[in-house]
Amino acid sequence: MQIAAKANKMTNRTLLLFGLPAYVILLLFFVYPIILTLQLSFTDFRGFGEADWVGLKNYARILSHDRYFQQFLTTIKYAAFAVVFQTLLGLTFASWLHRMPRIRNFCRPALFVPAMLSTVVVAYVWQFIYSPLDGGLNAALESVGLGNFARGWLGSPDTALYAVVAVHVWMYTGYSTAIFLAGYANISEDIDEAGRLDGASSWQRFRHLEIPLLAPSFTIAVVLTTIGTLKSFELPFVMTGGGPDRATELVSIEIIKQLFNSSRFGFASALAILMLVVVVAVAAIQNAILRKNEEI
Amino acid sequence: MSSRIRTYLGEALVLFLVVVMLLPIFYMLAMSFRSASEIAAQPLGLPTSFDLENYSNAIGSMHYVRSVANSLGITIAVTFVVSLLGSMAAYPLARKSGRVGRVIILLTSLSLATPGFVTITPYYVILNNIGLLNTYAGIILVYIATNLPLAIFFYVGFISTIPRELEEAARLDNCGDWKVFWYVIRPLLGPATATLSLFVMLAVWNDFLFPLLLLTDDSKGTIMVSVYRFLGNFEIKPDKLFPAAVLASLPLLVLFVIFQRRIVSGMTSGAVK
Amino acid sequence: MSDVLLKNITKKFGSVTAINGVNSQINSGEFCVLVGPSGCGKSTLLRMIAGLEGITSGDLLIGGKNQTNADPAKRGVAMVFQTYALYPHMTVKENMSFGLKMVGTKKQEIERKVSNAAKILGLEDLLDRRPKALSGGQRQRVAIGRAIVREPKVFLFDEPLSNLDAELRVQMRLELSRLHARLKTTMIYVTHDQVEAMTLADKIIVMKDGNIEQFGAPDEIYSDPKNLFVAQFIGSPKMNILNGVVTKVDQNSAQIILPDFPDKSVIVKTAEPLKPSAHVKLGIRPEHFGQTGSIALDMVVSLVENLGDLRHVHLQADGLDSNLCSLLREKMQVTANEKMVVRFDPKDAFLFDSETGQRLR
Repeated sequence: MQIAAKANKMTNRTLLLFGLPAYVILLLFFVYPIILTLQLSFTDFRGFGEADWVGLKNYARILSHDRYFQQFLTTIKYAAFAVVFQTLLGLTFASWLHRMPRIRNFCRPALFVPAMLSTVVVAYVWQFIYSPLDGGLNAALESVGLGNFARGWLGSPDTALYAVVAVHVWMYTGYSTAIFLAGYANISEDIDEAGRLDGASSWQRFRHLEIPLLAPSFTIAVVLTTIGTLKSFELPFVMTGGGPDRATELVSIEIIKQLFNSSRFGFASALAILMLVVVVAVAAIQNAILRKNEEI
Repeated sequence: MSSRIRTYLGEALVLFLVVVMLLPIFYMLAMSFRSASEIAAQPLGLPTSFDLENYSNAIGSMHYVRSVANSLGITIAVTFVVSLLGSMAAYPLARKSGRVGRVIILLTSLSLATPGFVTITPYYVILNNIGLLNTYAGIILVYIATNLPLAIFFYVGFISTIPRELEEAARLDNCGDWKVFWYVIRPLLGPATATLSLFVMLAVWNDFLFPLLLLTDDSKGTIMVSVYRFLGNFEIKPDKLFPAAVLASLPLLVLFVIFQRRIVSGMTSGAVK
Repeated sequence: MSDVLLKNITKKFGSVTAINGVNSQINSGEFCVLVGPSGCGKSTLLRMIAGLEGITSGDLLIGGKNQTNADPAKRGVAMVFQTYALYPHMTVKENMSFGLKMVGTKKQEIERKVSNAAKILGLEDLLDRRPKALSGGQRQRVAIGRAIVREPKVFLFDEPLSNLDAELRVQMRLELSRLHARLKTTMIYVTHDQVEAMTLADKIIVMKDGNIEQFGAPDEIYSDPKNLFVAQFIGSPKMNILNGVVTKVDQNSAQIILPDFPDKSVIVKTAEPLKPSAHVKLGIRPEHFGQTGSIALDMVVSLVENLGDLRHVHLQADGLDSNLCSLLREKMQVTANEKMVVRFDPKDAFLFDSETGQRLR
């Protein structure tokens, strides 16, 4: 005789009842919007009036124009640079601060301060710092005798993307640092001490003990940074508007332009759907690879 | 002895690098007190006097008080709803492992990864259809939706650290699922809710895409929209830019200084177990 | 009447059977201890009685009433958890009154019951404190108080002393005994510690792998174990086990040679129809393995643990795969690696079947 254990176990009914209000909101404002976006992506909707079904025309346009392909490439490049540098910098700071308990409690939040600022504010401030005339960066370079390097950072297609990436890294390095420091806090001190007794130098402990044990932090730092970077558009949107010469034209900027400037909702939706596919695919692949690393 | 000196040198070096990272923020502060001509003449100079003229101009023309109040009001409404609905949804998810729960968690994480510019078109269409475009209610609803997944994740993580025995004791004390949640789980969520509300604040305060499209009425704009409209897209004037930047960041920076421990650990607690 | 009757109680987690058709009766007012190694199912069984774990099949009767599927709060049981599970956001008083409040008890009634319980447990001065501000022993008392105020028919304890330090554990053990003497309520107590089981229980239930191996009064379990497992689990240090082979069987006895000790044989009383050359095991408790008795074994001391009043002498012999232990009370000089003659009386030996581990009486 099999009796449902009603006594204690939470039922699916509770699961759904407790979550009902949340699920209704998520259904209306997440699932439905995605379906709507998908639907719109097959139309020529312009923000008002009737939307005409155009089939795969929007997608065909995206796939047949090199310009959009370049935008996806730029987006990936932007994210890749940001993730690599932010992760390395965060790991470096964390491994230093882990060894320096005296200054850790000051430095961790200090590095975090830029992440507290609005991206719009950061974008404006850095736009000015980068500006060729009164900007702080060129003036600072000149004052330390590196005047040769002074240039219009955002004005040249060669440097613009990297300049924007640098701002992104500056903004969120503290975040990565905090993630790695949290990872360090999970490593038992005994392991470090055992390593010391085994005669491992600081670098050897970092390389052979800490890096492998920080695997979960790598997963989190990399996946979150990737998603965060792919989701963001404010920095290039304000700093360069996609220029110069499309050097910083991310897919997100194209979507915003299509929406705000041309009111081509249908086309923007097709781009958005493709972008969503890219984000989810990248995150899933990263997750799968990095998780494997975690298995010890 | 020499190892001690090495330690000091290392710490000095790292401190120096951290200060370099903070330079742009000092720069922003310093510039906000200088006039445009001063900056043009000497891009790196320090302020000669603490002239508040820049600030009074900015406060007046970007409707600072009103837009701060708008941001604050929206934040409070969103936090309240999100923390209640999020914790309710999270409680069974944290306690019950099953296929239904896994599907819901997967969906929630998917919505966390969805960029705002993907869903903005449908938000516009939906709010337009239900007549909430350009209303506080509309933007609050959107922010509730975008912050709910985070809240659910956050609470699932937090609730799973609450010992199960507490609930079992409550069950023996004649509590059903709802009473367990209301009398035992909910009162323990205080710290999590505090951190979550800071997250929501950060998200609402710093966002500008949604209000730009969904709150077109000038008087309803949030602080970032005010900054954006105040500065415009062409020819940035430093004596407008820097005070506006400082004013827009100040409330959050003050909060951060007060709650930095909680924010930093909260930001990573969900991330690394 | 608040006896607890377990009828063929079974618990399955998927395809794994945690409790395998358990039958037992715990009489009204009895202090019953469920004991066994970790993973034996004792906690699961307790949680099934509490209603925190569903019962896959079988019947549970409390005070004559079938409570197999009843709501945990309606079974008339109260539980003290291993981690105490005090509500951290409530004061001691609120913790104790919460359950009463939830069933809508009147305020004065709650007040009276809480102050009564506080008096019994010496918690009067702590009523306004939060659990965080209490010591381990005080928390333990609050957890018990929370159970007392509900005036349950049955108290359930899930390893309640395992989070306390050794000294406090002994003290709380005494307090629990006194509490039981005072309340005279049925108590079911889970532990893996056989000392707690022996000292607290009116009745011990020894469990292993989801089955009840034996139940009975502590003395009965100790002096008349049903099988090898119970014999070795109860009693510290563990019972010594010697291999034996039956050589001669008489009406009421059998002669058994000890292959690990050349030329040694024992005549043991047994009514069991043993076959010659059958393999058996001989169990002798360490306190009966010492300086008196008709059988003498030559052994070598491998280690001496000095406990002050007595000594545990661990012994080895050629060909013996396990350590044996002798409990010495005499002030005799023993050092490691010395030879020592150990004696025992055949009447103190328990006989077990080598294959099944069942006792051969």
